[in-house]
Formats: sequence, C-alpha cells, structure tokens
Amino acid sequence: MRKLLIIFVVILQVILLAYMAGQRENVLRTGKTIYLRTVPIDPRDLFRGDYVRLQYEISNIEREKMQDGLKLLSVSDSHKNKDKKVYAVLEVDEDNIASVVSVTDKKPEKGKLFIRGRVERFGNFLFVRYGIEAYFMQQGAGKELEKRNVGGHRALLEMQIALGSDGTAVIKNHRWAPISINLTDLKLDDNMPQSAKIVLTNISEKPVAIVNLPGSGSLKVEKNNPDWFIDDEKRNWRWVNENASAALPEDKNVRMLDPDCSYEFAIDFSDPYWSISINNKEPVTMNKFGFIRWQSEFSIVYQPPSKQQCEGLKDADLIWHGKISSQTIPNRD
Amino acid sequence: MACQNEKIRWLHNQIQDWVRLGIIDAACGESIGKLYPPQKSSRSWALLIFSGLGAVIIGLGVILLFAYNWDKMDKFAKLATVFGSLILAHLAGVSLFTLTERFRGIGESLCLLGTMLFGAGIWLVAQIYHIEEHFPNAFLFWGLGAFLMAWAMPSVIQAALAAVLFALFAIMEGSEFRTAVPYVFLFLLLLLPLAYKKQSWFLLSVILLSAACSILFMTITLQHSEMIVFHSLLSIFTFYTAAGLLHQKSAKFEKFSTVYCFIGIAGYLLMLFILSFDDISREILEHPLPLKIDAVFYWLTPFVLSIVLWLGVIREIFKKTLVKYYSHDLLLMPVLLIFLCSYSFSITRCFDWPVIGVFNLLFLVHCLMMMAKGCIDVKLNQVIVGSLLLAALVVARFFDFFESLAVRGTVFVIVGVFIFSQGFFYIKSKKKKALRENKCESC
Repeated sequence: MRKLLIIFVVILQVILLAYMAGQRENVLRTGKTIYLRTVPIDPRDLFRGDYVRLQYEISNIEREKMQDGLKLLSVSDSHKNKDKKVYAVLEVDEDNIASVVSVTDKKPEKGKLFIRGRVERFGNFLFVRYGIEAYFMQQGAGKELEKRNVGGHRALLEMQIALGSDGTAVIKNHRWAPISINLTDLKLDDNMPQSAKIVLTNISEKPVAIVNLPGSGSLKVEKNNPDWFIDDEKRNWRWVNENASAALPEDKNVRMLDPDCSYEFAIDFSDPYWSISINNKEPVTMNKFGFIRWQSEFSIVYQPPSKQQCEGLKDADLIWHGKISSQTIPNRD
Repeated sequence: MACQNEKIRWLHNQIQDWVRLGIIDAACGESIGKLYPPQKSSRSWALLIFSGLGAVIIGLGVILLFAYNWDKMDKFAKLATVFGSLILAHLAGVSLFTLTERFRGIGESLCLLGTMLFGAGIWLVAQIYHIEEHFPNAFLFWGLGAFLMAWAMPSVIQAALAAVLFALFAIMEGSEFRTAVPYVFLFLLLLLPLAYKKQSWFLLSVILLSAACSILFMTITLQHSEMIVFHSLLSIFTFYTAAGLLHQKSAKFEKFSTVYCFIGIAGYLLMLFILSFDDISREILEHPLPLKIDAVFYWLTPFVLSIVLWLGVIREIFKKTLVKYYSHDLLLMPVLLIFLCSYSFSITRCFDWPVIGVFNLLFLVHCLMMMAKGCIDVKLNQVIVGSLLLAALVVARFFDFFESLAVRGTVFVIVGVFIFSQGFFYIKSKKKKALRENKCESC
C-alpha cells in the first residue's frame, strides 16, 4: 500500500512536469506565429543560467487603448490591480510584426488574435507582462546578444512568438531588425536641447534602404514611459506634429545602406518641426524646453513610410519599414 | 553497540526460526522480540545524513548543469534526460526503501534525489520554453512535490526540503513581488505532525526557522511599518519559548523542548538587542501596529497564541513542573510583548531614552540571569553565552550611550571585574557540586 502511495506521488510529479512542457509544446506546434519587437537586457538567473530580459513594445499600452473594466481603473488602484489578468488584442503588419489594438480584462471572442498577460504597473500607460520576458540561452550567449546594444546603439530584437488559442505566448526564436539607431552629438544649452544627430546603421549582411523624407519627416518625437501621474502639469506636453501626415516618398529620398554602413540625420531643435505644446498652450520649439524633471524624457523615432506608400519606388523591395527609437533625451545613463 | 546490535539481530532471526518450527507461538515470539528491540545505530544516521546531503548536492549540480543551457543538446534530449533520471531515481529509491530495513536509508536518499530532479525539471522546462510568468511558483510546486513524498514515505528529509522550499516561496513572493502568502503556514503546520511522528528535532528546527523566515518576509511585504515586522517576529519567538517550556512535561517529546527553547530564546534576545539601539528602536516604535484586516492576522495571531501558551506556562510554574529550561527572567518575554502592544496603541507615545533604557535593562537582566544560573547549575555554556551577550551589550552602548571617556572606562572596568569574579564563583560552585556528588556516592 505504501509503495503504491509513493509511486502515485512520483506519477504526480511526472504529470506536472509533462503538463508544463506539453502545454507549451502544443502552443509551439499549433499556435499562430507573430513577431514582437523588443530591446534586450542581459541578467543571469541562479537556477536557469543566462537569459536576456526582454522589454516588448507591446508591454506599454496607452490609456486610450484600454477597454471594458480597464477603462474604469484609476491610478490610485494601481497597487490593487497588480497581477490582474488582461488580454491585448493584436494586429499584424505586412512583416508579421504585431502591435496592440486594444487591451481588455474580458477574454476576446474567437477569431481575434490576442495575447494573455498580467498587469505590472498602471498609470497613463498600462505596463503588462506576458510571461515571455525572459529568453534563456547558453552561458555567454546572452552577452553576444547584448553586444549589439552598446555605445548608444540600439538594435531591435524581433522575437518569434507562438500564440495559443487562449492567448498563451511561447517564444520560438528571434531575429534582428536590420537597422540600428544611435543618437549622438547632443548639444544642450542650459539643459535645453539645441542639436543632435541620428545615425542609422545597417547591421544586417545585406543592403538595406532607408527613407529620409523632406523636413525630417521620417523622424518623430515619442514621449517616454513611465508617465504614471497624469495630473502633473509639467508632464502634460505633446509634440505638435504627432498627428501630421508625412509627405509621400520619392526615389531621391531613398538611401541605400550596404552592410555596416551608416546614414546621419542632423537635427536642429530650433526648427519649428520640433515644437511642443505644454498644457495645450502656444507651441514652443524644443530648444526652449528645459528638462525640468526626468519625467520629461523623450526619444527620437525613425519611422519610414509604409510598404503601400513606397510602392512604385525603384528600391521599394529593399526599404525597411520598421520603427526604431533612439535612447532617451536626456540620457540618464 | 555494533556487537550488541548483531546479537539482537541474531536473536530476532532465531525467534523467527523458533516460531516457524513451532517451538514457540507467534505471540510469544513477538513478546520476546519486544524485550530486545533493535537499537538504532549511529551508522544509519550517518548514512542518511551523508547520502541525503549527497542527493541534495547532486540535484543542485543537475540544476546548474542544465542552467548552462547546452545549445547543442536538443530540447527533447534535455527533457528525456530529466524525466528519465527523475523516474529512475524514484523507482530505485522506492524499491530500496520498501525492500528491507537495511536499505531504507539509501532508498530515502534516492527518493530525495528524485525530488531534487523534479525541481530541476521545473526549472528546465521553464528554461526550454522561456517561461517567465511567476517564478516563485516553481518553489511552491517543487515544495508540494516534496511535501507529498514526505507524507507518502514518510520521510524526514523530504519534509525538511519541503519546509525550506515553502519558506523560499514566501521569501521570493515577498521580496520580488511584494505579495504575502499566508497559506505557507498551513503547509508548514501540516509538516509538524511528521516531526512529532518521527520524533525528529532536525525537522522541527527546519519548520520553526522556515515559519520565522516566512513571517518576516510576509510582514515586510505589508509595508505598514517596521513595528508589525518586529512584533510578529517577537510574538513567534515568545510562542516558541512557551511551547518549549511546556514540552518539558512530556517524557516522549522532551528533546523538542531544547529545539523550541533554543530558537525561541535566541530569536527573542536578538530582537531585544536590536531594540536596545536608539535609532532602530525609534524607527520600530514610531508607528502603531496596523489595524487593517490584511495586516492584523500577521501580528495578532502569533500574539494571541503566544499569550495563551504563556498562561499555560504560568499555570505550570505554580505546579512547579517546569525544571530544565525555566528561569524567572523568561517571564519578561510575554511582559515585553504586552508592553510593546500597549505602547503601540497608547495615545501619548512618549519616546526617549527611558523607553530604550527599559530594553537595555531587560537585555542586561537576561544576561545576568543566564550567567547566574550557569554558575549555580554549573553549566559552562550558559556562563559563556551570558558573558558574551553582556560584552556585546557593553560594546554596543560604548558607541552610542556613554559620551564621557571616564564613564566608558568605568563601565568597562566594572563589567570586566564582574565577568572575572563570575569565573571564581563558577569554579566554587563546581567544587561544591563535586563534593556533594562524592558525599552521595559514599553514602
């Protein structure tokens, strides 16, 4: 009898392990494959060895995208709602890169593409973790991945993810976006940005084309997270061109980059293109905007025209259509 | 001992033969066997300790080997290795464990290795599939695996592993996710009968320390104030001491009294020593105990349990049944607990040196009582511990209490003379005791 009881417990142990592995293996085999953009950071785990910590673009979701019960959340409930189960409804672009359409606390209906996660923090943005924030690899390999993000260079890692029908996500593989970004020569005057350079480098092994639209049209300003306290006036600012549509590209705007070659964009923050509006007041150029507090951080984003907009161009097939953000300004590192 | 054991084994084999041949009946054979029970040899304990330790180290080695994350090894090969070794270790362990008494220890160790491999398997699966959902759960499931094995076998070493894993679960939840997991106490409580059933002081120690660590991290998580952390821990240690004193009554579990008292008194003295510092004490006593429902459980439950047990101790004091570990100064433990609780809720909470002075005085009383009791009962370890604690108190106050060098010097001289004369007193007591014993022998 005792022998049987012990064997029963052993079987339970084996079943638990088999369930853990089987559930994930099933998602890997039957789930829909998408790509998620992320930036790697390299820590180490005592029990699982080297891994790269991943911070996905879809981890920070704007308040406007919150649906159903999440609409009612207030910043003061942030602590109470930690670990709350949420579902981010996704859409994929022509490169199979997924982005968030909306986020809800109700399980979306069948047929919709969604990923399941849990609330980590909440403010103006909802910070969600999806259980795929660690990418384990052989000891030493983590450093290799991190090498691409040294000296101010930011390279995008695109994780291949299998999505189960219940929103469970499992990492399948990874690939690098072909372009890295670096913000250099930032000139400050009394804590106000005057000029800077954005350097895009082809880090792939094939030629890649980028687009430089007239009037810095391929570059945008993106306010950085965290932005938890919505009532603070000093942080209530927006870039005036955030909703402006850029001009259509022409062949002369396309720049071909061979492997390891770079292209520089010069930025003059006194240009009205870089104006911001604080509390919906009269716009001021960024060179007159001091970094009063760290919450005022922003990034410069390279965002070329879409595939559709580039149709008919000579090197349309070689143009990379991804979006990539520079390090933050001011860079606290 | 070994020779005697061999003789007893020979006798038991003979009894079986006599019963088989019909020389004596089974009941008679059983009665004779009971008269000469096989003695547990130290060898079996050594075997269990070394093979158990070996199993834990092998298991940790396997976890670290897989943590290297061999790129060239296919994930199914990795899974097959862990599943295969887990099943093999358990099957071999179960077979040996249930085969004969002789191989029971090795069987138990192999099953422990199996449970370690089960843990390695959880981490490995998480690694292969890049799972990062909520890593403390790995400790919980691993602990539950060990817990079930502990009761199924039953095995002290599996139960100790389970207790450590449950504590790690509570620690990780508290430190990494700021979540309190009170049900850990239920699991630890369910392991306690096993410690009593197997009369294992080792398992009891692990459970008591795991419970103290768990409550420490759970109360830190609540973030109400340092007072709740401090009060809960103090209540737990006071509770342990009372439980230890009451265990002296039971002949069967008398040795548990040492474990309870040692952990309880050591923990209490540590808490009191911390309270004797001005800055820390101010920080602890600054806020009252929280009255929110989620926090009350953590300080009120151990407090009430502790007071109830101490009422039992006081009853036994009147009956004069507590002998071994009891000393009158221990009654200050529940008094301090009640004082802290009342102080926390008092409207006019004055705070200055008089309050810290009380804590210093209490600590001093315990040191002196320990030294005096050690001298009277001729127990050198008590004398040494008491003296060391006194020295620690004097050194601590050297930096923050006495401003004048002359006062510092005087205090050091007084304490030095006191410890020195204590040595003479101890030797005198020892001689008196030897004389008494000689007289008794000659009588």
